[in-house]
Amino acid sequence: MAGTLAAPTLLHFSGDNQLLHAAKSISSSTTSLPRRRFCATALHAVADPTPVMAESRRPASLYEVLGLSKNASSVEIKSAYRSLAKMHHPDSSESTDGGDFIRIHKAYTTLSDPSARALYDLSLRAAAKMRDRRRFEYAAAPASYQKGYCTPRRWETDQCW
Amino acid sequence: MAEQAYTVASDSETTAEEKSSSPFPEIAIGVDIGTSQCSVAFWNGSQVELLKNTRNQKMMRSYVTFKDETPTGGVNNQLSHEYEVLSGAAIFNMKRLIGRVDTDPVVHASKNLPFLVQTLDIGVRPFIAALVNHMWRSTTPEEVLAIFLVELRAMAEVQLKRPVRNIVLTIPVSFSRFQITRIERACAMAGLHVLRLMPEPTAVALLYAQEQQVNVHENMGSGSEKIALIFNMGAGYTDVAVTATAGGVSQIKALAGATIGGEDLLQNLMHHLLPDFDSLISSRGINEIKIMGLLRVATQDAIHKLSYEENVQIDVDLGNGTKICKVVDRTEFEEVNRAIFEHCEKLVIQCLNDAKVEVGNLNDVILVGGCSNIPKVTNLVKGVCKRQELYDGINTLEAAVCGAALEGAVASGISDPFGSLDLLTIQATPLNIGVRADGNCFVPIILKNTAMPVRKELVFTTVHDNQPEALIVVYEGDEKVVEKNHMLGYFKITGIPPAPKGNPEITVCMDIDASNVLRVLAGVVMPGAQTPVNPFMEVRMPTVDDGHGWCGEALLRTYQTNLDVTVLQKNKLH
Repeated sequence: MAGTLAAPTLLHFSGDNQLLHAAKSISSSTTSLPRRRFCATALHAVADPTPVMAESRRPASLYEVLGLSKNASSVEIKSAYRSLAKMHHPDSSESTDGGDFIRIHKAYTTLSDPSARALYDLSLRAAAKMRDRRRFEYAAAPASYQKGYCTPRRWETDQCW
Repeated sequence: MAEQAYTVASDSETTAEEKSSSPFPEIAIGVDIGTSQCSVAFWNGSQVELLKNTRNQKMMRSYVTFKDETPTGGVNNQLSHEYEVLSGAAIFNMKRLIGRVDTDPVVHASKNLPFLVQTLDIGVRPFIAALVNHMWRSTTPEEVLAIFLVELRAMAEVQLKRPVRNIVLTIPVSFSRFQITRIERACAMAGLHVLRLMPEPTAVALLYAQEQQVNVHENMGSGSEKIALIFNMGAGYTDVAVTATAGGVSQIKALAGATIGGEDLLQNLMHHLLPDFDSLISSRGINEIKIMGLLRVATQDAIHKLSYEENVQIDVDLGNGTKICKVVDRTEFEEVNRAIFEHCEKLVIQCLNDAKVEVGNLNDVILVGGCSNIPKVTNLVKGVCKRQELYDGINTLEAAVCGAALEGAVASGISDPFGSLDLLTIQATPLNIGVRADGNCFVPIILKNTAMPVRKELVFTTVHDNQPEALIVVYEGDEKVVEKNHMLGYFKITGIPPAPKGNPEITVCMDIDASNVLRVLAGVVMPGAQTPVNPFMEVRMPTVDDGHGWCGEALLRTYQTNLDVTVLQKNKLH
């Protein structure tokens, strides 16, 4: 399944490849390029409509990035974002290169916007059901119910890193 | 003395991520180089303190006087009279001139200054000269600024009893990246390393965040988010920022800025008092310079008085038979400068819109900068924000430099046992950054008001069949038509395998780190392939030097659309 994940643009950033080696060797440690960010930004820019999400490649939901439960309030989201920003922003911690902060900020941008969050929640649910469906194969699922998944739309592509 | 302190001047050196090798972390000091005044502040271990010069001043005039061999700056220089700055020997308003080309209206307006600003109107740097022994001696804004910074650095080193190398510098919101490299070059010439650049209102935002922290500690609780609008109007620039602050973290939601300020108010009033001013001074002899100086001082005084009085009597004998004897009232002054004040209003409204903040949701409105005393400025900000009162916990002239000093301590990794440095400003990009594509359009990749650090990517493709190369021209700005934006640089992607147009995928990735360094990474991947055709390019921007307007024209003339790119449509991918 993982093979269908990717448009070529994604793959060339996700594996070991010349670019990253080159970039790594040129840049100092403070400017090295975290790979998965490329994957995510590539997805974002191309708005890849590929409907299948590879489970093995799914590290964390946006909620997990912020260390929150799925029913976190907007106040909780804001304060989690702030305290994480303090820990991971390059200004306040020497060890990070900004990649962590970019990821945290992206999670916050989606979750702090009510409509973007609603869409993201939808996509999470769809993804979860997809997994369930795969686990139980097609057993006992009513045909109409199944049909709903034949073309699961992915609203938010951000979770794919 | 000034020359001796020069070190290597190089763009690439100024923002390098080099850490000082000394065992103790060097705390970066905050420096605010204003168009008219300059100040330095530092973290003294428990709070921010402003440095004073030998004459006990915190605010030092920003100018450099050229006399014989050694130029002297305004850091320690004792002025016998204001006219000394206006004798032609002194260069000031460097911040308005730095990094501008001679087609820029701001440069043209600077021709009213008593030193020599010569333009050829062809898009190169203007010629600037000071009058030394009845000769116009050429210099550059970078050099003038460097001389001034050398003095400033020497003063700081004497008082802090340690070498000073790292600084946090405040800059106007509307500075282009090209202007930033010029100001960084001036710092490098003075042996200073710019650790962080802060748009002035964001420095104020950090100070505000600290004050809110203190208040929360005192009141126990009520640590909710506060939204503030910061309006900063100085002599050369006006900036607006909207910031959301909680728990010591200040997130910049939007920025807006323009090159308008007290200098424009002054020039408009000068032209109002003496309508044939421009023709009168065009020959720029010794007498004309004197006239300029006399009128400038009289007008400046009048504007200061109008902040406290309803009307002011102006009496000045220009010595060439022209006498100005006039009563100017506040309404007249405001009418003469109506366009400036309207522009200020527009900036505030634009900033609020960009931040998606309603005026009713603003917790505080903060007014800072040298023009904040002008009643019209206060009223217009209050008017747009629909408020009776402005935030009064902040020193209008010192706020920016204090914020910069706080950032200097935070970014140097200093922590404070009382938590006073438990702060963070999350900066935002002031302008869109993108590339020329889809014909002559500007396609932004990083939108303005995006939180930094940031990394964004967009995929482009070729516009001709079997197009072997693609030209990536990087611009910064808000305009749709590409030429109206600032060009930052350009490079070629080569070795694109023969393919129908629209097929190769040219990935352009832009990356801004916390030190505001912009890198552009680009390369080409063929559909179905997993690795790029050739090694990707990594280019630090800006790469262009002076005359960037010409480069765009020359590129267009030489290559027409041969090397163009266009945004890859999603549907073309599959």
